[in-house]
Amino acid sequence: MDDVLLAKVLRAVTRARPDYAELPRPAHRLVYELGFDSLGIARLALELETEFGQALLLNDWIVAAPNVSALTVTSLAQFVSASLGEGV
Amino acid sequence: MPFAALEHEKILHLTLDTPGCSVNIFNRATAEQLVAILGRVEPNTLRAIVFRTAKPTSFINGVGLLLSTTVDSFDDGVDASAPMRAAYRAVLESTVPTIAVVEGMCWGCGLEFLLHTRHRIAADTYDTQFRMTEVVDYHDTPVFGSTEHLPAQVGLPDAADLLLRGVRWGAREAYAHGLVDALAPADRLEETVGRFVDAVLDGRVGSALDRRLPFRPEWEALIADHRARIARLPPMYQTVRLRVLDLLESAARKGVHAERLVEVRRFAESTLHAKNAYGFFHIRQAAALRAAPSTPRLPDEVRLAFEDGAPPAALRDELLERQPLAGVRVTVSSDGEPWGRFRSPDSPHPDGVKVALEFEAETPTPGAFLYRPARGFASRFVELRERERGELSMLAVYLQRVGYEVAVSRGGVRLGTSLLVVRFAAPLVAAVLGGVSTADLERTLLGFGMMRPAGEVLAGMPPDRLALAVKPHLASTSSVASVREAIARLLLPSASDAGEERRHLVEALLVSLLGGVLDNLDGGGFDHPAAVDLAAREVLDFPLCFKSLCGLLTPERIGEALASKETLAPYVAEVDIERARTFAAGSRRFYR
Repeated sequence: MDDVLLAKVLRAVTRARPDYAELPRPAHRLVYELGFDSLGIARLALELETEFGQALLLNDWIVAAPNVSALTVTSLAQFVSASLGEGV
Repeated sequence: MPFAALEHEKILHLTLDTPGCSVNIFNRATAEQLVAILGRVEPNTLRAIVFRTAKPTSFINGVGLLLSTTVDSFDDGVDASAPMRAAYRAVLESTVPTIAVVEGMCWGCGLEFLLHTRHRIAADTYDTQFRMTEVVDYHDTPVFGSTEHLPAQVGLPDAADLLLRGVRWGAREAYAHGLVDALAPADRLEETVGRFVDAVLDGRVGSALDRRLPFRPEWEALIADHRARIARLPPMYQTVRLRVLDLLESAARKGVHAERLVEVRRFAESTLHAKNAYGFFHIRQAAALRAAPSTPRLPDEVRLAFEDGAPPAALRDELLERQPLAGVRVTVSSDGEPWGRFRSPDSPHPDGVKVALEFEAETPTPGAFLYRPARGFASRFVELRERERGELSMLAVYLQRVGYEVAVSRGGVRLGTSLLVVRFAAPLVAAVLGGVSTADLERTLLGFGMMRPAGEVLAGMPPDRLALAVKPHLASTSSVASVREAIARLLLPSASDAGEERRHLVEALLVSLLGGVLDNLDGGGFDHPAAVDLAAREVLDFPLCFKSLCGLLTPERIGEALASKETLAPYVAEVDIERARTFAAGSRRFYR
């Protein structure tokens, strides 16, 4: 996993959930540990855009997940990496 | 915890405030907390439970679309929805009276929550709105009882309007249709709610849950009419609507669904179209967040002035005079100025921001203005034109609060929506000039997934101006008069249903719309694909099943469209075909 990319993703996740007490970790599930809902995901997409300078559609990442538990910070970073072609 | 619980005089007040979110979402945590609370309720210790919101603009906006997009089977659907269904059932089966005080948006699953409460009172403000979004916005079946409870509580006609047409009710409509039992004026909310609770406890307020509106003979024709309407929709939109109509009809006739989890089963049968439609939710939110990155407090007084007799009269009535915006006094005046003004104390412009409702300004205005296209159909889309980034955030927030979808544009000489509308119209006008019948055009657009005929999309535009704007984008040289005549023919509904679908026209349309997207993002207009997509969806009725216009227009997809250049040539100007060829050869994507 590209550390720089992961750091950017973590920053975006943190900013998208400013009221959340616990700092996000790669293994955290966005819904269960981090409390993301649909609106939070929309905000996250904009924060990722700020980090990476590209508009991102996270629906493909969500739809491809086998279940909600698979929506982790790590899987998000992998999706971003694949989408932007920055490599993992 | 999402609910704050406060017991006072044996009345339990549960106030929902979803953490870290501008709206309330009835998510898993909320559901689990509520089940736990209701599990401890004993009728000899409590007289009533009152559900309230800490967010005056949001009662409950939904239950979490995130869960919906990961459901691939009936078992998935059962698992994902189980906590919320348990909570709703606990409310329904409460041994003490349940009272909902609705302030703000009560949408989708929020409205379904309401259907499980015994008594309801709504704040009489414009913020308070009721809508079922599942079918119309997401091509999906509602899961939490609306197909069963709505026919019983408001009758089949209103249930069908809410679910199949996605109509939006304000507080007063909700009261008139029996969805809520009482209204509370914004300036006397607490006092009125208190009296309502007393009336409930005194047994003076009946419950919608005890209402079982019987099936009426005239509903047979209503059902047939809905089936006929659905049959005229694009095929990809028919399945879910037919399923929901079947559920509504069954509940209207029999009272309860024979299969306990039939809604969940239909929900789990969602196709890819539904998942793509859910994806548009994120695009819609992105556009909204870009229009108003923060949510400034609205000034105590909002003044909107419109030219007397201008079309915005309907806007004025709907927004401002029928229901007040909570906490904000709105005045409307017709002061005879050619442009309206939006004033707020924080406006950087002492005279306020110029407001007008037009198709297209003849010259770039030094001010900023609203563009409300498509007045012919009830579009809730408004384009705000900024000079400097953020100068209209306050106006965007206001318009969003009163239920409008807002996208912001800046730069260039044309409005962002105009750039799209012109590119939508051009290949269709070219087709008419080339002898293609409007019946064929309607069939073609319908097959692609557009529910509105082209004429309906273009009906709000001044034909002369539209003709002048379209003419440069036509493949062949035509006089303005002939272009205007072709537009006039497009505006007329087709006399025949027997049109032929012409797929190459769809390809031409996509190539032409690519030009509109590029004109926006590169030339001045909307500066983000989410704003372009919102305009395309709301004004052009771009199909939800393709995620979005910008999502669909990839180099690969444009390459497919260009594969048959010969069939495109009559409908798309050569310069636009060349532009599309350059795009197809590159790697640019509007979204990653």
